[in-house]
Amino acid sequence: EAPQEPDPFTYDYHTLRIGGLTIAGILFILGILIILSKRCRCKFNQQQRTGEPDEEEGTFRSSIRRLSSRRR
Amino acid sequence: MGRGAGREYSPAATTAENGGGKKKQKEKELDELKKEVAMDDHKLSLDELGRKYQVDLSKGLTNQRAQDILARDGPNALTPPPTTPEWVKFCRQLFGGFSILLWIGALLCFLAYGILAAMEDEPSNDNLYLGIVLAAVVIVTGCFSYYQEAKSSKIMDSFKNMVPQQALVIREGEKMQINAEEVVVGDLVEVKGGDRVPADLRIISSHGCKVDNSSLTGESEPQTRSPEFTHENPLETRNICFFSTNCVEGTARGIVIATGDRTVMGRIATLASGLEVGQTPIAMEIEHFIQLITGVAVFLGVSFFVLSLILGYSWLEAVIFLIGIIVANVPEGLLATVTVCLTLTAKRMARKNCLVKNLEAVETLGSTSTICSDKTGTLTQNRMTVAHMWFDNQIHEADTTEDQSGATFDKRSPTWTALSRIAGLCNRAVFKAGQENISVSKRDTAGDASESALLKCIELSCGSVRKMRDRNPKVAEIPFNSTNKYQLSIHEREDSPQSHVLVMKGAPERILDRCSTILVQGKEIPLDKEMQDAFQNAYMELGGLGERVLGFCQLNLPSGKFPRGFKFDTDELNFPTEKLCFVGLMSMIDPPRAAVPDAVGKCRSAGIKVIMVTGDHPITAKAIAKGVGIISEGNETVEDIAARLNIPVSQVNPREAKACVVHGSDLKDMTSEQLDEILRDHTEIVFARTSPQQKLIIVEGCQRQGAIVAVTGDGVNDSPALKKADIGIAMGISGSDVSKQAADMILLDDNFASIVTGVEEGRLIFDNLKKSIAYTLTSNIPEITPFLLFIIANIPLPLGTVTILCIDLGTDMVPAISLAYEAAESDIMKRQPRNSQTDKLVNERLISMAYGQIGMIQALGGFFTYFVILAENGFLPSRLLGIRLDWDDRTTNDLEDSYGQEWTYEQRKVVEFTCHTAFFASIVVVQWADLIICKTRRNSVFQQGMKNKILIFGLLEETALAAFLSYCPGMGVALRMYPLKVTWWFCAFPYSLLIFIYDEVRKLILRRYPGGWVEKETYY
Repeated sequence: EAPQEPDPFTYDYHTLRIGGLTIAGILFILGILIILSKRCRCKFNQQQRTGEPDEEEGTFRSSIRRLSSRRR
Repeated sequence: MGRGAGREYSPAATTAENGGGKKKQKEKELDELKKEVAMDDHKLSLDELGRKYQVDLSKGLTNQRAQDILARDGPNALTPPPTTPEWVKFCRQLFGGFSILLWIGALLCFLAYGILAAMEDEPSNDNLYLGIVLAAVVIVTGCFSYYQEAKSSKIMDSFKNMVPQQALVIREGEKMQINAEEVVVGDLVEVKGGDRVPADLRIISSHGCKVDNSSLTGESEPQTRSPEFTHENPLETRNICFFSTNCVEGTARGIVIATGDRTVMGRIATLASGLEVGQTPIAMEIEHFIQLITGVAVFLGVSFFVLSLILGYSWLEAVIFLIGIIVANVPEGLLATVTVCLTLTAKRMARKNCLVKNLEAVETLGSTSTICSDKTGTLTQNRMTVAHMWFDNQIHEADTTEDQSGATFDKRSPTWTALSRIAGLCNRAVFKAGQENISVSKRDTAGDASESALLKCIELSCGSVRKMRDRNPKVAEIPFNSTNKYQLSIHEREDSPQSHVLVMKGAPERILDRCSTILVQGKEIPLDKEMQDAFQNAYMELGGLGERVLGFCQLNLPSGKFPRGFKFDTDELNFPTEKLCFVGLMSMIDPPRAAVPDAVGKCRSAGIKVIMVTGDHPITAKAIAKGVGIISEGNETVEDIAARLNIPVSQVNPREAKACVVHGSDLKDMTSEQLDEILRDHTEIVFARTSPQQKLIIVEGCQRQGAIVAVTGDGVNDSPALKKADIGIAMGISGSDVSKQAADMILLDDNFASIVTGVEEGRLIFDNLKKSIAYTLTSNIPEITPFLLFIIANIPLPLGTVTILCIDLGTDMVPAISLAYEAAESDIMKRQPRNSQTDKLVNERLISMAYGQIGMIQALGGFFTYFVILAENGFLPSRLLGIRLDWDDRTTNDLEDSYGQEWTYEQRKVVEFTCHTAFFASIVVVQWADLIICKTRRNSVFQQGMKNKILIFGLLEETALAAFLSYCPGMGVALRMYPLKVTWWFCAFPYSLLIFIYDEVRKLILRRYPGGWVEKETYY
């Protein structure tokens, strides 16, 4: 139960509890919504490019080409 | 390696010999293993061999004798590395690194509870609860990380190849198929194309036998095996086949000279499993962190211990305070936070095809400053491909890209038509059936590697080779052999119904010798001196690129002399094999993977030195190194400089050359100082023809330079180096089991470029862990100071144990973890790797920021709320000083406040616990600001933005949790937390704002004056 207050300051602890819990609930649901909204743009931003291209010899070819042309 | 010498390495023998001095014995054994392979069986003649192994070279061993040897030597299998029992692994998680700190905290709590229980009749249970919670946290986190590692090791196990191998042996003159484990020394074994060699063999007879030694030596090309002794070095000589290499084609019969762990492979595997590995960098960082934290805790504890004695507390009370302060310094939530952050990163890396075996290895990759990469299969595709052609006196580049998008050459030249016909016809390789839907370059073939390369090249540029062969049916053939060095076949010509064409390919100089004319633009012209020089130049140039070159020639047989139906006799050679018409050259190489040059470039810009360590030949190694940028354009080796200036190599100052190619045989004679010098003076290094032992020495050399070394490799030959490296990276697809066992990380897609992703993630998590720790540590101060003031100023306790735990394990958790999702502040791949000596995870500056500055403001905010609440209830701050003894006295039920109101014990306690709740809420409020400032270390929040959704979720969630704890009915009984008036929430707001502004100003100064006082003192 609520601690005893000096008279002019009696406080409505029941409303306070309900209000507090409502706010807690709202914040929690809001948090969940933010996480679920358009999933994971937050996630590791930039670099998605690395790792995919398989064996294509383009770059090696061109570097060899550079080499051979320089030598010639 | 004879049998006698071999037995020394057997683990069974050593443990039996002496139990004591085991360690020394082990060290000796390792040194022994590090030496080069010593064996002489390849030098012996067949008779000597038979005598040595007491075996009849035609009939083989008797069954009885084979049984005896099997009983003596044990089965022919590698002893698996000693696996750590599951409970040891579990205990390691429970008692490793950070957990120790928490365990000590828990023990101290129980100790304090014991003292209190002995002293008082009704001791407060706080210390007991705290101890239990601490122990629970360690156990739960331990279970969690144990589960994570068990999961990844399960994936590892799935790689293991469980198929039992069979071997064909000859015993008592009969051929029999037995389990490869039962093969013994002295057995006669037959291998054929496609088999795995069951043990180390000395060849006694062979027929066109070729073996793929790439997993042992790194050579991509299959090696010919024959009975002749060709080289002093057992690894180079032709008459030895090695355990677990593959026979590609042909057949061979050999005598088993070593089995199981005594084979060359076995020695390497034993060497790998015997190596001691050092601590991971992150483990060292955490150790350093624990030292710092313990230092602060002990300092605070002892000073307040002394202080409380001076203030007149009893000895026992002072000890309780000492323990209380030390325990309060333990960041309860940090262990879980760090584990979760590392796990999240490990998961993310696994999604990008880097499977991490050990959580700590996640960060190691980020601190890597040197990568030693194997060539074959890691940098290259491990399959031969036609790279260049020379015809019409011009070098053409082949196009082998899947979509035919690469460079093309003029295919209209009639010379090309002739060349492609020869390459397609004089070729025994075929595509395996059922691969019509796969792109040509990815199809499996049956046959020699270079013939397969030709087949694919022709298939791509001229369409189906099979149809071409059908249209030009083969009538005679001489297969390649090492004395002729050519391959020849005769076909009916599709374009002329009566005549035949003779096509030939082989070693270019031999082919040229047989030619008198050369085809240029479809016209035969005499092969004069000028053309021969042109040929030489082209041959040299292609050879210089590290490519294997083949020459092609043809002859249209006159239909008069050789009509259809003519019996060509390949033994008698009743047809011309001289005065042919030279057509062109084709050269092949095992090309680098497409993503590698880019990845090497990224490593370089990230300050990581990439060294190539390969078993392959120097020319090939150098060519690939140049192709992928390990030796960058314009950088020369000593030899290059010498050639350019036309002076002897000895006159060149080695320091002028940035690049350098070191041959394994040179490395053998080097002292470790000389190796150090090479590693220090050259930035771009290629080690060629290295043995597995030398790879190990190179890694050790790099580590001597203070580098954090990552090693990539796929073969058995790489496994000692993989194990020794700070982080060993094995290849998931092509890698051998031994290498995977030795590695800390596995690239599931075999792509070197994935390493770059790994480095990036590792660096990011290191930065984010700093932030996370800074955030978590800050709230330690508002948690400790109430207790300190309680002791010194004798005020009612402002913050209790329960509320402290609510912060550390409740509200602070999600925000701290959310910092792991923070994006990098700047391009982390543009900066130098972390210097493990100076750039610590947690340094004094971080502690001073968290504890000394932000933490202090937070404590002020908390105390402000505390005093406001008590003042509202009638206790003005002046009344509170020294009130403690009366306040906590159960029998005093008429304590007067500043206004003369009388308070019972229970009433006082309700106010006190309301204060605890409010102090807790205030910490949550100030931690909002702390979380936002911890997002960045240098940039402003306004530059960084609030894109991290998990972090926003963390902010909302901690607030919701605080409100819930305060307002939920029943909390007053359960946790002694009471509802707070709305106004009390706002007491800490100004302090929150202050923290934000304070830190933004600090970072502004930091950015404005780089290298200035503020940076030196506060940048963590």
